[in-house]
Amino acid sequence: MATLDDLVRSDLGIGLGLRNVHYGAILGRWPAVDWFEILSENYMHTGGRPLRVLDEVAAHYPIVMHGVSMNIGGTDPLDRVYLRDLRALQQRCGARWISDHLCWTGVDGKNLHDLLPLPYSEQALAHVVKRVRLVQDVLEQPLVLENPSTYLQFAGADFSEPEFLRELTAATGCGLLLDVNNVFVCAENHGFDAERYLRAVPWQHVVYFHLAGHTVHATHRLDTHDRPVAQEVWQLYALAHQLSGGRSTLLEWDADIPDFATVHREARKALRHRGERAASGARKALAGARR
Amino acid sequence: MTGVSLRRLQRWFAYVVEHPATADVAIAEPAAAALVPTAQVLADRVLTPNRRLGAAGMLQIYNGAYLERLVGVLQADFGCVQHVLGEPAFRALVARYVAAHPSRHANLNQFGRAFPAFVQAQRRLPHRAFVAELARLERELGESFDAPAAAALAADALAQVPQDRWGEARFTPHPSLCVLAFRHPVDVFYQAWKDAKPMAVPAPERSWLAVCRRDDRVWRHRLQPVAHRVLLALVAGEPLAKALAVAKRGEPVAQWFRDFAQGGMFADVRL
Repeated sequence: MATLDDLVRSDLGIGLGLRNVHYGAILGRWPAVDWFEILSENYMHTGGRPLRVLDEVAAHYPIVMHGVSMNIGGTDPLDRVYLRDLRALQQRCGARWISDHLCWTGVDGKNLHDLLPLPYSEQALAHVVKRVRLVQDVLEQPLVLENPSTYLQFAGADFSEPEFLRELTAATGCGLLLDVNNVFVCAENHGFDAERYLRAVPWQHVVYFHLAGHTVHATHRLDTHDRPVAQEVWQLYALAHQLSGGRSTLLEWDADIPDFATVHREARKALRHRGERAASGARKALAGARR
Repeated sequence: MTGVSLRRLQRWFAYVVEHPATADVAIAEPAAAALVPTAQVLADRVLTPNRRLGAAGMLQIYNGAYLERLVGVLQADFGCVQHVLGEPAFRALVARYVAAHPSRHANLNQFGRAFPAFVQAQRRLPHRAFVAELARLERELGESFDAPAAAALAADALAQVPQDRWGEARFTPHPSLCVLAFRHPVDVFYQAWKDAKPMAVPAPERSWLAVCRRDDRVWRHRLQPVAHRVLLALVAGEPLAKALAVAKRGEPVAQWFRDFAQGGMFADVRL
C-alpha cells in the first residue's frame, strides 16, 4: 500500500470531479483529463449504473476517492461498516488514495450531511488524532483530510487552523487535501491572512489541491461549487503551487453544473498558474496505461 | 470556552442546526441551554464573532443550509410528488419529515426511504392516498436503480429446463424487481408528468406495475391484474404451475411469462 511520500510525490496533473451529468461526454470519448475524483458515497450502496460507469472510467483514468461521511471529528463511534465499504470501493476502482474532511457530520446516530466545524482545541486534537490512527489502521494507508470551509470559529481556540493541521499530521502521518478555495473563503469569513495561512501549511503532508467557486453574500462567503474559481483563489493557488513544488489538482463543480467542455476549460486554467501551458494536455488519458 | 466536552458541544450544535425555526430561537431554548448556557453564547464565550456576524448569525448559516439540503434531496427523488403538491406544500411536508426521520445513513439516497409511509400518515394532506402511492412509486424507482447488481436470467438457462419439468420451476427474482399494486392509475399520471403533459389528479382506479432494472435503466411494466398475481406468486417462490393456476383458460400466460423473463425480472431458475 502507498506511503504518504508516495502520495505526495505522485502529481497526477489536473483532475475533475466525476459527475453523472458528464457521463455522456466521458464514456467512449475519453477526453484529455489527467484523473478523476469520485464522491465515494455516490458509488457505495448501489449496484446499478454508477458502479458500471466507474468501472469503465477507472479502466481509462487514475481515480481518487473523496468522501463526506467519515465523521472523523465526530464523537459517535467510527462506522466500521462504512470504512469497510470504502476499502471495498477502493479495491474495485483502484483509487490512489481516500480523502475526507477535517470536520464532524453528525452526533447521536444522526447524519446532518454537512461539514461541521471543529473547535481547534487540545481536546479536539487528541480526539481526532485517535480516530485518524484508527481509520488508518483499518484502511491500511494514510488518510487524506481536507481543510473545510467554515462559517464560524469557536472561542478560546488553542490552535490556528494551520497549527492544528501541523499537530494532526505530525501525530498521525496523515495527508492533507488543501482546498485553496476553502482557505480563501475562511480567510474572508474569519478575517485572517490567506497567504500567511499557506506559508504555515505542513507542505510535506499535502497530497493534492482542490479548487472550486464560491458565492459572495452580504455577510459571508459560501463554498458552493457552482461557478468558476474566483480570481483571488487562482492567485492563492499559484502561491500554493510554488510553495508545494507541485501537487495533483482537482476542480470541483457540484451545483449548476455546466457542460463538460466548460468544466474542463475551467480546470485547465490551473495550467497557467502552474506554469505548464501545454504539459498537462500531453497527459491525455491513455486507455489503461496509467493504472 | 471552557468546561464543555466536545460531545456536548456537538449535541448543542446539532440541536441548533436541526431546529425548525432559526438559530437565535434555538440557542435560547432550554434544551439547548442545558447543553451550552445561552448566556455564554450571547457573551461570545462559545463562538468568536466576526466583523459582520454574531453567534446566532453564524449558526444560522448552518441551520438554513440543513433543511435546504434535505429538501433538495427529496425534490430530486420525489419530483412528481412535488408537482402534485406544489413547491410550498412539498417543502412544508419535507420539513415535517426531516424532523420525524432525520438521516441516519452515510448515503443520502437512503434518506427518502420512509417518505411514502410518512406521506400516508399525513391526514390533512390533499389527495393523500394518491400522493402516498406516487411517493411509493418514486421511491421504488430509486430502490431499483440502486439495487445490488445481478445478471438477468439468460435465455439459455431457461432453455435448459426440461419441458416436462417446467411446472416445477421456481424463479429467483432480480434484486431490482418490485411488484406494485395501486388504487390509482399512478403510472399513467407519472408518465404524463415525465412527458410534460400534466394531468389532473385522477380518480381511484386500480393499477398494477412491475419496476425492474435492465441494462442499467429502470423500467416500468404495467401489468394486467392476473399477471400481477402470477408475478407475485413467482416472486414468493411458488413453482410455475402453481403460480399460473390463478389464470383462467385463454389468458395469455405464456406471453406474460416471456415479458417477465425478457424484462429481466428473474435472476435464476431452479428445479
